[in-house]
Amino acid sequence: MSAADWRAPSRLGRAVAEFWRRYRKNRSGVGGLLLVGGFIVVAGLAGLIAPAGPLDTKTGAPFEAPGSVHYFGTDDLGRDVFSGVVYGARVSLAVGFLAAITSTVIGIIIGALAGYFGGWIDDLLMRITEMFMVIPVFVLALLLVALFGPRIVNVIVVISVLSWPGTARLVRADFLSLKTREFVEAARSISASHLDIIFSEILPNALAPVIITASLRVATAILIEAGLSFLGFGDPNTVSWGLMLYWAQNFIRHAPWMAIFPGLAISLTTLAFNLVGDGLNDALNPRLKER
Amino acid sequence: MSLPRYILKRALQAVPLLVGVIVINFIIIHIAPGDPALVIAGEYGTTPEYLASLRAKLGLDKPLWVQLLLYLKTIMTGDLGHSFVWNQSVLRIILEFVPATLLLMGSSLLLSILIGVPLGVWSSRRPYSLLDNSLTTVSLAGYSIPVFWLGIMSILLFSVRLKWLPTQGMLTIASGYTGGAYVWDILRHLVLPATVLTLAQLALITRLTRASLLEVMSLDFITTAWSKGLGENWIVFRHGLRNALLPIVTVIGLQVGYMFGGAILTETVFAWPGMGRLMLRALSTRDYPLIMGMFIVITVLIILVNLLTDILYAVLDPRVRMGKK
Repeated sequence: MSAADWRAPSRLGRAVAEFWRRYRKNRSGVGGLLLVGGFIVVAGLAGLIAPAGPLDTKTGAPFEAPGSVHYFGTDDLGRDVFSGVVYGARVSLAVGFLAAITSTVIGIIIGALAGYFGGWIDDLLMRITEMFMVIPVFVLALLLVALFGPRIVNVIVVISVLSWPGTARLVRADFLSLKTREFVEAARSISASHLDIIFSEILPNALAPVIITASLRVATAILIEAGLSFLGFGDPNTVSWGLMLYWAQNFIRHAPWMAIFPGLAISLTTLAFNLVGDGLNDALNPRLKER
Repeated sequence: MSLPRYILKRALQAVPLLVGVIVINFIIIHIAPGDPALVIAGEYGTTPEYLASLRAKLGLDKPLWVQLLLYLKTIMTGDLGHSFVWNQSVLRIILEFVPATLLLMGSSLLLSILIGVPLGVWSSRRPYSLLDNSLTTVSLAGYSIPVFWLGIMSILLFSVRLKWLPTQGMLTIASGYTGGAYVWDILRHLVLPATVLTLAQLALITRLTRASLLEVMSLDFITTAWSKGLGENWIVFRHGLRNALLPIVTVIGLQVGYMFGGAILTETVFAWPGMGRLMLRALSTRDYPLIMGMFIVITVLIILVNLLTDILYAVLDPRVRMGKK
């Protein structure tokens, strides 16, 4: 007993070390992780890094080309594009993380209930999931944001509510196969509650694919937010990269930098999360363990 | 199960999906802030008389479940409402804009299959080689670049700098082209938006073909084929790819919904006169009946495409029909 207690933390430590050993092999995955870290630092220290506020007008002349004062140039109102990009990281990351976490939690709950209980619960939940899979997410998101108002909270809620089906199907599939295993039988035989079995017995074993999709979900959420803002349906009071591209639309010919830098920022951030997802896939996917 | 029976079964399974989508629309109308009648009619140009007639037709003073049934009945008969902004029936307006979108989406889907499948085959033949790794990286970049930004950048490069291609619309305005010149004009306008939308799909199809083919090529019947001394091309294309294509067909079906999002954004950038532009106009005039009508029509199109891919799957793989998946 005491030996087991003593070993527990080191086992976790070893699992983390083993995970990192495998993750490290995927160089682009490590690169993605560094990029994500970089963007988090930029978002956190935006006030220190950006020379001006994202909405401050007349920080310079309108349409100044990129240079030593305005690294990314200025826009039609003399706003500093570099500052906008720096502050925009906050919005993109916040939307990305919050929407990914919420949709993953929804997906886990629905998938777990369907896979664990089976029968009519499974049937019902899977029909609902199928329905959400055929719904054109972006179209419905536009409709909802138009009806409920383009506030950043609404954008996050809409993206979360629409992007859980993939996770639900993954979790369900794992639950279906895991619930018949001996360790679940054992838990049941000591009359553990359903909740206990779902969350402390099965779920930890079904988390790997969920974590991988969650990191990809961050990227999708960032892209959807950018798309909504680009069409003019993001939060007009929060400077995001998509909103900056919306502003840039009419000035593409005269001031291409207004479009180039925010777009690069979106692409790099989503690329980073996709690379992390790829790295996690290599590190966590048991089928590839031997490689 | 015979093929016709299977098709019938799948078609019937699509009905609850359709009902579900209409129910979602109904729920949205009722949780949206404001008077449901106003949400259904749109805020522009409605008259008290029209609102009264809507209330009567949809039973807006009756219990919710009666309202739901009446709403289902109305939508199922193809009555998607009336747009006061256009002063036309919603369905008529949408049908007018569908072809341009289908042309854009169809051509880029075709292109991405024609390019993506061979690329996937190529990179799966030499996994983890330089070629495969570079294709993986390019694919990831393809996933990550927002389609509308790619559009803007391609306009900057090909039209502003190089002046090779037109960037806006589907036809040269007031050109009066007919016959061959007319088709050529549309094609020239189609090149940039279709290419941009293709690049957004290409990554997925390439990756999927690669993964699917890698899996199939490790199966026993492929080993048997090798041992019979069949040639590599024969084995890869006749035995491998035929089986590997099955999951790809399904994913393409599911991908259509995502493509609509990309198409809306692409159409905005290139002023392509399809559903995306219509959507944007409807949004800016708060033309709710038109937006909801488009949501329903697009979802119906997606359900139909999925039905088609399911049937195609069953034709390609008889095991599906036998209930063995």
